[in-house]
Amino acid sequence: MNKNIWILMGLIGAITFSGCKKDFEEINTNPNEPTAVSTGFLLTAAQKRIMDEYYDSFWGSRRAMQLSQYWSSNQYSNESRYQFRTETTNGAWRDFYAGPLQDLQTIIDLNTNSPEDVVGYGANANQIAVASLLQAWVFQHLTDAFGAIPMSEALQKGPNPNTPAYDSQEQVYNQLISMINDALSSIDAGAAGPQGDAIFGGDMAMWTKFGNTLKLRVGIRMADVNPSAAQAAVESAIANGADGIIATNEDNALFAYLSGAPNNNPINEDYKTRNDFAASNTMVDYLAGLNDPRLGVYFSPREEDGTFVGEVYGLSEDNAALTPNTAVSQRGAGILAADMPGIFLDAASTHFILAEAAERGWGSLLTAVEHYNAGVALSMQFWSISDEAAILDYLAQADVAYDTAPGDWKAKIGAQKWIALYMQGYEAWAEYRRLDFGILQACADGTLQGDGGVPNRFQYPLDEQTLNNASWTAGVAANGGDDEMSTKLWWDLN
Amino acid sequence: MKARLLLFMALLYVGTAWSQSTVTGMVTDDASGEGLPGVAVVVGGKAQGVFTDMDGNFAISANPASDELIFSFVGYNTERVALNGATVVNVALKSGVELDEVVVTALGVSRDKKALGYSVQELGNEAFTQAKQENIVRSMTGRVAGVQVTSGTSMGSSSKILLRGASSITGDNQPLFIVDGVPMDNSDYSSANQQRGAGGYDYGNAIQDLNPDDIESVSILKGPAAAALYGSRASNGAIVITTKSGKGYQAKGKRGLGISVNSGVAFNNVYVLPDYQNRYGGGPGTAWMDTINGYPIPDYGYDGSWGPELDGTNVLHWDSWYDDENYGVARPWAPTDSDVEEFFQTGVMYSNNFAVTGASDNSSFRLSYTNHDQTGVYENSSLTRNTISFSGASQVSEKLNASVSANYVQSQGQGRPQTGYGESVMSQFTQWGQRQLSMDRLRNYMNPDGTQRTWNRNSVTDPSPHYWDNPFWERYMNVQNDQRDRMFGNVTMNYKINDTWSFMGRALTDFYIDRRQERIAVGGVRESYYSEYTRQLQETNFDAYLNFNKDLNEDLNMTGFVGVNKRMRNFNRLGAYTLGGLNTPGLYTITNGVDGYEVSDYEEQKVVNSLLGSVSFGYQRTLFLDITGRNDWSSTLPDANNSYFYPSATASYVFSEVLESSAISFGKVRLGWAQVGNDTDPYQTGITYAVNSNYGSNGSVTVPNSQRNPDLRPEKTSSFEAGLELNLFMDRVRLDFTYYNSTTEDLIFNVPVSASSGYSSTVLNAGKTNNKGIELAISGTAIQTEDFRWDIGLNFAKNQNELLELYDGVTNIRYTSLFGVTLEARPGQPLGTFYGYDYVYDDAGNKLTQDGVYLTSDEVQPIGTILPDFTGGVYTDLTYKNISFSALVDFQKGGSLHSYSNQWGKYSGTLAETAEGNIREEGIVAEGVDVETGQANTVAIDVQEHFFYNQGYVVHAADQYDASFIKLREMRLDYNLPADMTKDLPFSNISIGIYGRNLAILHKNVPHVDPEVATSASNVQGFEGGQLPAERTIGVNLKFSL
Repeated sequence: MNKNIWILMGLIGAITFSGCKKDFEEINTNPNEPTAVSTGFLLTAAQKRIMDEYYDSFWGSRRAMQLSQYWSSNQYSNESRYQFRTETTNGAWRDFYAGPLQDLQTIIDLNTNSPEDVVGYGANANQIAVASLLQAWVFQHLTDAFGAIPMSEALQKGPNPNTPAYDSQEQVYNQLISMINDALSSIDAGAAGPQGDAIFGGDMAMWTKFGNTLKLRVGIRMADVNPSAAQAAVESAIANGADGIIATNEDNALFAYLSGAPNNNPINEDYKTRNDFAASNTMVDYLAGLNDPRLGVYFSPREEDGTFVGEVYGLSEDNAALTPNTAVSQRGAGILAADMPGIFLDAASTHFILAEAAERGWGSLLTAVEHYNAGVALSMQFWSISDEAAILDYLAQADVAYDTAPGDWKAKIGAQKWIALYMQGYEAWAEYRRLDFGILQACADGTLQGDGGVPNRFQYPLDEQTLNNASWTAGVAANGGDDEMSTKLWWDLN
Repeated sequence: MKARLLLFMALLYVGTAWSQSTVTGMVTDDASGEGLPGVAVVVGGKAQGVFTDMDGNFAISANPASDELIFSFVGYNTERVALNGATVVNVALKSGVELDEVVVTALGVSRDKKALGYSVQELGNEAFTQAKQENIVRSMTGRVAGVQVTSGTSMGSSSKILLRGASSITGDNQPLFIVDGVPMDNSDYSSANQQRGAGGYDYGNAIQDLNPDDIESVSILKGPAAAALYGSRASNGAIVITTKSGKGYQAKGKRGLGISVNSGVAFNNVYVLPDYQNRYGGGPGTAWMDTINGYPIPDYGYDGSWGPELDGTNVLHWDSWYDDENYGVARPWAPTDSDVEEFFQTGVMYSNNFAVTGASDNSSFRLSYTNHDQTGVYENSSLTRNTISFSGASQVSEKLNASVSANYVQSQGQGRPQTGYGESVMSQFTQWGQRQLSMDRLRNYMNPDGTQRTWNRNSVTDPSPHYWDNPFWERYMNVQNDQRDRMFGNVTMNYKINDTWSFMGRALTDFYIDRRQERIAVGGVRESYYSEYTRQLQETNFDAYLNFNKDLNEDLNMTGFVGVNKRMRNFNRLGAYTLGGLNTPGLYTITNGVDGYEVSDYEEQKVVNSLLGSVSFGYQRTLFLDITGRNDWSSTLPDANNSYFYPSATASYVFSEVLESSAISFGKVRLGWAQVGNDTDPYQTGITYAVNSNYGSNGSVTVPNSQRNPDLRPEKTSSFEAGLELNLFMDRVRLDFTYYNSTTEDLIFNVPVSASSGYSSTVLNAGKTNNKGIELAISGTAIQTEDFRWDIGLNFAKNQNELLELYDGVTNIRYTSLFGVTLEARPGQPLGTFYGYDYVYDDAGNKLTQDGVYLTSDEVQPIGTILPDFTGGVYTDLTYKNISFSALVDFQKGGSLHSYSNQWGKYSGTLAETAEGNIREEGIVAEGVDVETGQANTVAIDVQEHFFYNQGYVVHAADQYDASFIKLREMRLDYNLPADMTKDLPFSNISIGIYGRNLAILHKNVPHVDPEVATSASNVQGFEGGQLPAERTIGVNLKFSL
């Protein structure tokens, strides 16, 4: 009997050891997520996620659209008085870096490390170029909001992958120029463009225009602090003339939101359940003063009497709540539409940049006034003002006409650029800080945070303080002040 | 103290001092005939007793006419001998197969509790059925030292149980539940928002499927030592449940069929509601919005109560604008005559159990049906559970025994209340509400055309809801429902090879399908919506054990086994939800989405193979040693690291066997050391992409935010425990003390990293946690006479938890955050510490103010921890003849919660403190010291400013509260009809009971809400947001047999 027992025990042991790891690799292979994908899928996701965050109800509507005073808050108005939620900052940092930036980096890495695996989704060089240009766009967006940011060591590229060091804004701008130049020089127009390109459908000629136009934007922002680099960037961007840049509305780099969730514009999605914003009186009054036809596109008349009245900017919550929605102009129907496009780069901005280049005596394609007029006209057309006579009438007004409009060229270009940059709140805020064109008013009920004026930057996300403290500390120092909203950025001299 | 105890003891003896004689005799071992020393000899029903001497002789004072002597000794069957006039009694004790205190230990092995080197506590069926709860975990509250239960407040909500604190940073730290050998799934599929009190439904955790009526006993194995043999999942302890079967019936010598019935009805009512102000109505300030026809118009769209004083002025209320008799009719602006409590109803819970038990000489079975039917305190809510349970066993041949158990449970929930900030009905009553609202008027929530009538209409002309739906609209229009169908059971065969060896093989499975449907109607605040999620889970285990039991020599016994286990877990989820709202109102189908729908599916598989063994030695029934070892192979770890071994060793010494003190009837010391290895969740090691919804026809994928790790190693918990068990004065006083110290290292978790790395977290082996503490259970029989017995008991536990290490460069793990307050794990602090902005204090500890506003700390500070200082319970049982009464009070000292009901209730002006005195008119002076003058602050600021700047939204610490409580958890009165009263009836064993649960909060430190907060069974605890009011249960119970 005892013999049988040992045989039985041996059997148990044998079964165990022979089968103890059988099929483990297969069992632990995730059936829900692919291990290899089309880089086109990554590109689509990255393009959409950039715009989704840009138009996010907290990052976009509650911040950019308030900072530019396009909109006012009709009840929870803390953001319009510059008290920003830490969750929003944490979220945006995460949603850009661990979102599209990382997806784009993965496209670059795959095309670099195993080019043959992904060449079927577009020529390797072209995939890398497009991904780099989009990364550059996002990095500029981030640095203009915060100042120093992780860039050269971000996305696992540094010696401490989990705690990347910050680059000063100057370093970031230098890298932006070189990133754009590298991308432009590596584009192979004769080879296949990337799949999954929701902006240009893989048309590499258009990506060349995107690269040059982004270089214009990056360049002009350095105009005060580093004029020589700025001039070089702008002039090299227009070296191939108007064909090399986004100079007409047909060339605009837009992300086409679709008619239904989850591919509708986030503003539309938010509006389905909330209506926290109304037209700002700053914007309404300014447009009305110029008889600007865009007023009726940007906003809808107030329900009460069909006139355009903006909600006073910067009201306290109590005071904002006292204004019924029917008493103020709301956002325009097109703005709230599901398919309101996301704007990466547009032709009107190009011309305002070139108008400024002309004023500064740098190379430009046309004269300052011609570029200025083109910028206004292209903006009108973009917003569906197709009546050319109306545009010409508008431009002929003394307060609009370049020669007679009030202020110096910074004020003239700044004001019209501000109007044209509607729905690109972050760009408008940056240009307000750089060109100091005025117009924006003090918060009616005072600010809740900061030094009383329009903030010069955002405070870093609280997550960075706790998760990346040493780098954060160095980043704060690189900005040349405390981590305050009043600290001026490197390019913001005045 | 000692003198008083002696006096107490002496008093007990007084009553029995007459008509006594000395009874003598000798106790021998039945087998050897030798005298047995140290046998306890007790007079039945009285507090008298002695021990036999070295030769087995005894002499005891007793009444030979009426008394009975009880002889008991470890390892022998207890004998009862009625004296019947005799004064000399000789007894031969049989060494017992059935030891006097048997407990169920790991792998369902019944063992003499005295032989165990670790702490095990057992609860019987009555703990679960006499004051019935819908979730058995709640019945453990306060009863066992070191068991901390936190429960949600509403019907079918979560109950979290922690044995000796939390060790894992991100795991749920729940113990493993085993029912008749079947490891039971206890998943909690609650959303992240639900956990942090930010809205959602609380579906509870899956262990609530267990039917209290089928429970025979529950063993709580607290440390990893007790659970070393169950493997990884038991590293937080194990709760081993034995269900009723026909075996007990058979063992009592009964044959044929027996029928038992247990019926109960209970009533639930809410009993903790906030203390509201009734002086001011809704609105942002004292100005009216408008005037129409000479009547003021309040601000319907504002969700706060800073409005005009409720002085009786006639105004046009929110419901003056519908096409009915109230149209244009002004009513007084006055305190409500139908306040929040009118929203709730009495919930009724019926429970009926019917069981048939049968036995023959060779086989036995039990078949039971239970129906649990409950309506909630929320209108249109219900919970139904039907359980059919069968178990049978047969002695097929002399050597072969086969048994089977099968259980089918169907649970159905409907209309569960929404929880948390922004969604809970309490959120619109307390956090954001208008105080003058009448529930009676809100009850009419819909117009004849199907549109909603809500108090929070946008304006006079725009009746659509601004922020809030009518709460009754929520109840009747946004109705969720859920159903879980679950089967579990096992098939077991035991083959006795010879006297030494036996073989056991069994297959066990737990399987369920869980379906949840959530709806949001067209016409409410939120976009209309329908979602449906179906989850299917199956875990199957195969076990084979070879057991042996051999007396090596007269003094030394050896038992043990070697075995194998194969565990297979399969999970899948298929879910879909509508996009862009619903096309056809009232049609809840996935294809009714305006923009179509989104579908997600998920599948998961895991296998663990194990080889395990145990050997136990018993020396002279006084010294015991257990050694176990287990090796696991887990599919979830990378190939190089997926095999891991962990041993344990425990010893116990029954010193009372040697000591022979008359005061100490039983004494034992225990020592144990154990390790438990642990694997991780599937798919943490492979690098993959996350798939998003398509963009048009374009695919869309992203790199996951969490970075996977192909180099993971298993986690390891090492623990030490020591204990003392002492029964004094003939077992009248019983004490069980345990000290434990447990360290877990190489914790696998998702370490949050700077998102600029490209990932927001990365899976790592990082971190080390420690739990150490004491557990103490003292019980005593204060009075014991023939008819009357009074027992009292106390259990107490103190656990200290600390995160010792984290990954290099990572300073904290954030569980969650809401409105700036975070719940984190940081080295040197307990797991689950709240961080937020604190006050700034001067040296004397006063809060500093500037211009009447509190200064806030520059950086976030630890402002509290979810971990209590100590927990416990006090119970008492009184039995007089056939009547018994019991009461249970449980308590928690310390721990902390963040209350968003307090925070937003103050901010929005609904709570009583926002209308004290004339603060609304005159402003309020915050208590503190002015930072500039150094004197007490005298600056009065506007009350709304005060409740913004000086409360928890700005100074987080202001709404952080001590979670201490003392609760009268349970009271119960039972009456067993005497047998002679029922002998002519067809029924027997009739008992009637009346009970109350959650009767009162005797003490708490947080205003307005219940400090016991549970929104899920996860680690995210302590965030209270729009807490549903706690419910009190009063019930009656009837039991009888046929």
